[in-house]
Amino acid sequence: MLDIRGVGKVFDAPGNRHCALSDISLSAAPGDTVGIVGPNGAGKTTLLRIITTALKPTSGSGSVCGFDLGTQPAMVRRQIGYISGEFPLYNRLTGREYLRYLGQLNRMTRKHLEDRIDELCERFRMGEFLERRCAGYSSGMRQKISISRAILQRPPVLLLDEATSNLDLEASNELVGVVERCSREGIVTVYTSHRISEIEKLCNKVLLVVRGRCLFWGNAVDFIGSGVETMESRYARMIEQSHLT
Amino acid sequence: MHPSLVVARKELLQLSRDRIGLFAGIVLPALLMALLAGIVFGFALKKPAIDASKIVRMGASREDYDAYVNLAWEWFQRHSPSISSKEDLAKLGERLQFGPSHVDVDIPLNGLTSAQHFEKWCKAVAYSYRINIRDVSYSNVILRGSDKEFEDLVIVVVKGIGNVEFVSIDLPQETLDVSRKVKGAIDSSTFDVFLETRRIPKVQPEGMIKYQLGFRTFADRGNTQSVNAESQVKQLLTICSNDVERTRVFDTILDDGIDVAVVGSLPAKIKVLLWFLSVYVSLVVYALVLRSACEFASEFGTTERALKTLEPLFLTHASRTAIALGKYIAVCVSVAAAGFMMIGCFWVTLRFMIPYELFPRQTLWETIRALVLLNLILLPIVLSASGVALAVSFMSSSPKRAGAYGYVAMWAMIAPGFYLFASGDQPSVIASFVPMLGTSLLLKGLIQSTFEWKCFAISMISSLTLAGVSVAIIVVLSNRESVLYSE
Repeated sequence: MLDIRGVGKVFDAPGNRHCALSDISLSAAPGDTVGIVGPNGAGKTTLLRIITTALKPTSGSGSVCGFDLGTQPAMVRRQIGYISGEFPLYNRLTGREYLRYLGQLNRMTRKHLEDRIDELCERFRMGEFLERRCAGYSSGMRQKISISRAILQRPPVLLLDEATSNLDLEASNELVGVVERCSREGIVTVYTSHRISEIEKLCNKVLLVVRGRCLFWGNAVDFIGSGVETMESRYARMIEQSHLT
Repeated sequence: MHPSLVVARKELLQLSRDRIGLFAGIVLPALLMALLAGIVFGFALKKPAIDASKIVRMGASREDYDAYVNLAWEWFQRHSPSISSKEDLAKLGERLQFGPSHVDVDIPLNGLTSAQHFEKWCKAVAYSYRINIRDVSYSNVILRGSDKEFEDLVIVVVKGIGNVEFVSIDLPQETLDVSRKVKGAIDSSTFDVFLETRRIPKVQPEGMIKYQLGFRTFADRGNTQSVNAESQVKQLLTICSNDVERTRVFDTILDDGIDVAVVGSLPAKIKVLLWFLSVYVSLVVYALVLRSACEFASEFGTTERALKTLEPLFLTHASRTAIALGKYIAVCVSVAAAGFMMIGCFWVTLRFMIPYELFPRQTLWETIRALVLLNLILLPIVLSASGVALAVSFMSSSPKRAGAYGYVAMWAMIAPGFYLFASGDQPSVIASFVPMLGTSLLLKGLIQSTFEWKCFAISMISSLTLAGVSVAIIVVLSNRESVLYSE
């Protein structure tokens, strides 16, 4: 369903050429939850942006639900829901108008769109603020709207880029619940976070990226190994080792 | 609904909810512009520019008339001794001033060469009196056109203002001698007038020499081309050297009688105002339209990227091209609203503030037609300005930079319009190929009644080409990675 093969990305701005990603591969089947971990600047967001087709890979290739990232970007985007940690909204639109706007751009029919918005409204308990303008929303409200936007079309692949970084514990837990539910529904979830405990709890596959290079790709249980280490301590040790090399 | 229209509708919906921004960005500039124009024109032209009764029925006072007679007498004593007595001249003046069986219309177009509708109006007045069985003489300082239609001797008395002085031009010594003599006569008078005689070659029937005589104001002397001054002096020189006989000069007047018209400084003032109006509309309206374009484009482009709302938008099923075009449509609609409101307020203000002689009274339909034409002229500017502004917005890494680059782009676009400051510029085919300049000249032409449809078509095409190029740039930019993640 999600297949990334040897993807690399070089940003070649004048006077600022740097390699953000090098030879990254991963794959996921329906229901998989892939955790991408790594320190700041490791290339996690760049990788997700490549999967969303917002960025074009310098090398390598990939596909989402069989659609090629390079040659079928529009079809790829139809398969993807994307949530970043900033929950950007239009302050002068209401939550419903925002969802309606993006739904229309996704070519959803009016009735289907309204039904889906109502369904999400009920599911995330957005009734009391959905008709208000987004300017007055709290982070939790913004998060709910953003999640609703991402899953509005029931995409088979959901990408979450540090989606819990600005949230309090309660809101984070709510988001984690959404990811778990998506996983149960067979949706592929790719999840980046600095909270290793969340990765450990949610993900069955882990990609560790440091300075654009893959240090580990495999099952979460293999990442932890057979020892007594937690995922967090293992992660810390691997990062430390990468600095030494 | 097409994604572009969805995007455009959403942008406009958002904009409509920014009431303060909308007021500050569109309504306030429009009202301020209209107010400024109203103040300028209201103060400048409190009274009608030209009162028909003043043109037709003499306005010179008896004092002025006596002074004129004395001055003329002195001058003719020196240069045309064939006039037998002062009484002859006084009789002439009497008939001119107070027994107006004939009418002289001194066309008050001191330099208003481009105000064709105004000239037409004056001529219409003249013709109306001719219909009423009055002989009409018609004079024009410039003589352009008028000498083809009227052949009478014309005397014009103008109450002079300001200093009378020949401009420094390279003239033969004898010419300067004459000018000094004339100037001496002027200096000795109690009011600044200048006796001017000129030959009108086109109205010399069968070898008869007819002259146009007149006092004229030098209020507009600063704008007089040196070549005109030279020709005037040469004409003086000719009349002096020929020592024209009395009958050759005055027969017509003595036989027929003629009125004398008075004009003040208003024509010169109107000329300045017309110039101001055309430059004001072309440059100030453009500046505000372009500024609006920059603001809206920044709002729909760079600001959205800074707020990170562009990323979810670009991850929808809509293509980036469709989204960019939607934003372009939104900018165009917003800028058009701003521009149309500005020009609408401006035009309506002018209709009420400017004397009808300058802008002939219009029916409602004519007013609507004028507004539609104005907006039609403005439309390509709106389209190209919106495209350039959105391209700048997409290229800029922050709203602040978009604003700075927008100013540069705005001035670059408006720069050709500064050619308007040159005097005598009119719509031309070559100028029409320069988008902003061609349209500026068209606007000026519309205001001054020198509008040409051929230039209109070329200007439309050149401006629309610019708009097309800018839209192509927008599409290219929107498909680049940097449009989303430029830092």
